[in-house]
Amino acid sequence: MIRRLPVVVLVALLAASTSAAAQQVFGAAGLVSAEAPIYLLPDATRTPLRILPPGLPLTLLDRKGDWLQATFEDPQLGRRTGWIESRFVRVRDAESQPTPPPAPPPTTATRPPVGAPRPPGTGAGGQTRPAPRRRTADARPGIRLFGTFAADGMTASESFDAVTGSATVRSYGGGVQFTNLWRGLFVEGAIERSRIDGERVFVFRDEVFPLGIPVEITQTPIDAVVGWRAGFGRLVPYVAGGATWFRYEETSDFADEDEDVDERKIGFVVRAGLEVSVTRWVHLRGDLRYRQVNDVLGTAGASAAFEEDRLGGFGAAVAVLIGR
Amino acid sequence: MTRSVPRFLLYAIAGVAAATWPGSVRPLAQPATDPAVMAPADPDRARGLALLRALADDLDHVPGEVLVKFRAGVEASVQAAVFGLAPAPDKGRRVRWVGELAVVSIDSVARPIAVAARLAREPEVEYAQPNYLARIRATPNDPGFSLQWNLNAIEASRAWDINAGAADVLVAVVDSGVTTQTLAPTYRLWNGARFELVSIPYRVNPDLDPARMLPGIETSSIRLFNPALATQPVFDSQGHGTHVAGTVLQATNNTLGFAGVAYAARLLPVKSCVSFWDIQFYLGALGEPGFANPELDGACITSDVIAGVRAAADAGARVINLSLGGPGPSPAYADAVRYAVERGAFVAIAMGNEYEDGNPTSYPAAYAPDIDGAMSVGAVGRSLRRAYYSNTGAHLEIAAPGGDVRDGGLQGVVYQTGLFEPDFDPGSGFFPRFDRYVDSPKQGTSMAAPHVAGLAALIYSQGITSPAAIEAAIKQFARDLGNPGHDPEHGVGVIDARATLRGLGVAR
Repeated sequence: MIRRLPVVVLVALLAASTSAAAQQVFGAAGLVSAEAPIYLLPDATRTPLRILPPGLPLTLLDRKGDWLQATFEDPQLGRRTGWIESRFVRVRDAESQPTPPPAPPPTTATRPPVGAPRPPGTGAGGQTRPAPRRRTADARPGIRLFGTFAADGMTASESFDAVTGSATVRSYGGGVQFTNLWRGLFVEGAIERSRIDGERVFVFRDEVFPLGIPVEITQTPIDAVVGWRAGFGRLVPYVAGGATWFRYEETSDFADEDEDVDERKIGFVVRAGLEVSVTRWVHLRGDLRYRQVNDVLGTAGASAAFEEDRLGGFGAAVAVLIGR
Repeated sequence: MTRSVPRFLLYAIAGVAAATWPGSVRPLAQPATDPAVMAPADPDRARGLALLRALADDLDHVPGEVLVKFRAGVEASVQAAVFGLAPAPDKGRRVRWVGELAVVSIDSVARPIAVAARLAREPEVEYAQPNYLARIRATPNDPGFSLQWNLNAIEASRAWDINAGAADVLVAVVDSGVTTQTLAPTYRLWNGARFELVSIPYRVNPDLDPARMLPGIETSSIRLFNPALATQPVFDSQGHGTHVAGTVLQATNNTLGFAGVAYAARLLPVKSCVSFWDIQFYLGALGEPGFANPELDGACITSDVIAGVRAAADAGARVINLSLGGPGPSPAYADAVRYAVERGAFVAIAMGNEYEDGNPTSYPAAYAPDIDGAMSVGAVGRSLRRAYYSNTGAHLEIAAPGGDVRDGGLQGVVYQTGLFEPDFDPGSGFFPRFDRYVDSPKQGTSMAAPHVAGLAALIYSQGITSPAAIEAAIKQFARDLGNPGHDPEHGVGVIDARATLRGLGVAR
């Protein structure tokens, strides 16, 4: 049952991330459904920044109660941000946003100062031209480099605990991520490395006798995964899965060459996590993952004594990503 | 089985000849003037004489004695009643206790086997048995080559890279003893015509480090009967114990002699077996003229061995070597070995050397498979094939080098620094000496068992402290021989010291 707990956690996290994607509006596109005022703050007693015409496209940034924070193209001042009551907005998915119909000239509640230059795109009567469609910056393909720190609880927990004194392995690594290849699709390549020291043992009836002979275990997984990032705001949940090329090395004192272990096997890895944009170029990521590699353990050594035949395990990782 | 009478007569004739023609047989030790030889106490005298007669008659058990173990909680009055079922000796019944085992004297004309069977029927009795005789298990060879192929066969030298000789682990060798002091005690010895007081020189093996040797424990009845012998240090008057102890822990890297498997361990010699000369010394002390049967050389009385095993365990031995055995089923052996294992001692037991004599089951080796922490050890020769003499059977657990003269001649036996056997060969003179050491070649499961005992000491020193785990480790890392897996000729295979000490990583 304890071994299944990480599976339950992972499934719950995946479900939660899907739910969050369905509910949140950050980064979504919207259309003004009826002529509506937009304010600097979510307060209808304030003087509106502008009265927006029906059909005007909005980019939704945040929600407070019945209010939505949105950006829009002001015909005079360019891109502006304000708060609009949600009943005037029809929320749409950003990627499926159709070309908005030509907007009627807004009814200006405020007029520009006399003699002020007209911004481009505005007619003599201050009417707004239809804004050219463009993708939001977050939705465009990007590339990111990242460094990661991870802690994995090994599936062969008794074997690792016997030899190294811990069933948890800490690793460092890095990689490259290509984002928004198609909608939220991304691919990623990463390499990690962990090195742990221990001592050789003898196992008898699950009792472990340390023998004082140093042993060094190095694990180097190279992951290639495909994933899906949901949404384009500051908080982005994601799931991914793929293959791992795994190198396992085990060396010890007093060993002949053929007695040390240097195995290379292919397994799989699945991950789910949440990404936070600190700035446009800097992002933090936390995820849970499961990695499994067969045919390295279980035929000899402590892993045979404990009947544990899988490398890898459940882990958590944090990463700093640099890029768009 | 060779009868003793002709040889007895031969030695008697030799003694008369020596007395008649001075110089024809040269005493190897000088007559002494110190008459400090004491006679044994009277009750012991009777038992000792009976024992000697039995040995001379080549019995497989001690006459006039049975061993009885009661179930837990049996009161002394009930025990006395049970003892009363056995015919008492003329001079009254004597009961001596070795742990929970009673050594009960019975009428010397009664058959111990029948008496034991009668006592065993009582519900309070767990078991009763004759006090069997075992034999130490070596077949000596002439001195020759000094090749220790046996240590290479078990990867000992590479194991020493990992563990330099099992420092300070206490290993008990329950055997014919190991000389622990250089002394020349005085004995009254029959020279074929009369008794002489002779100073017999003993010397500590120069290839055993005295700093790693404890004074030793004496449990041999024959010597204990004689107060003069009982108070002496432990001596080896046979050579077997010295050779066996040498395999376990002979000094190594000292430019002298040979190497031992666990050369930094400490030795606890336990003298539970006797030699021809131990008996001869006793006869002299009794004032009994004549010579003992040379076939008695290396006899071990069950109760003495049991006392030795228990004493070794009580003294803190982590490993006990038993290079002895006999054909008599003896649950008392199993109890003693369990007693030692429960106190943290691993026990290595020789399988026996009678394969070509009917391959009888040998005890206590036959009990080893039922005791986690004790192993029965068979012998292989230089090419790692079963030695021609090594007993086989389903109860064989492991194999180790014991030497095989048919597999490589004198280069195929086991060499250690040992006593110069012509100095004390029963046929070579009236007065022996035990102070000269040479390259000593021997073969036998007696030689195989101390390889396992030495390895057990290394394993203990490396960190595996449970006797059952030591046995499991030895088995797990043995090199399989013969048919795959366990087979009755090699057990699970031949020991591999290096692999055992290396243990396990995660994957390999």
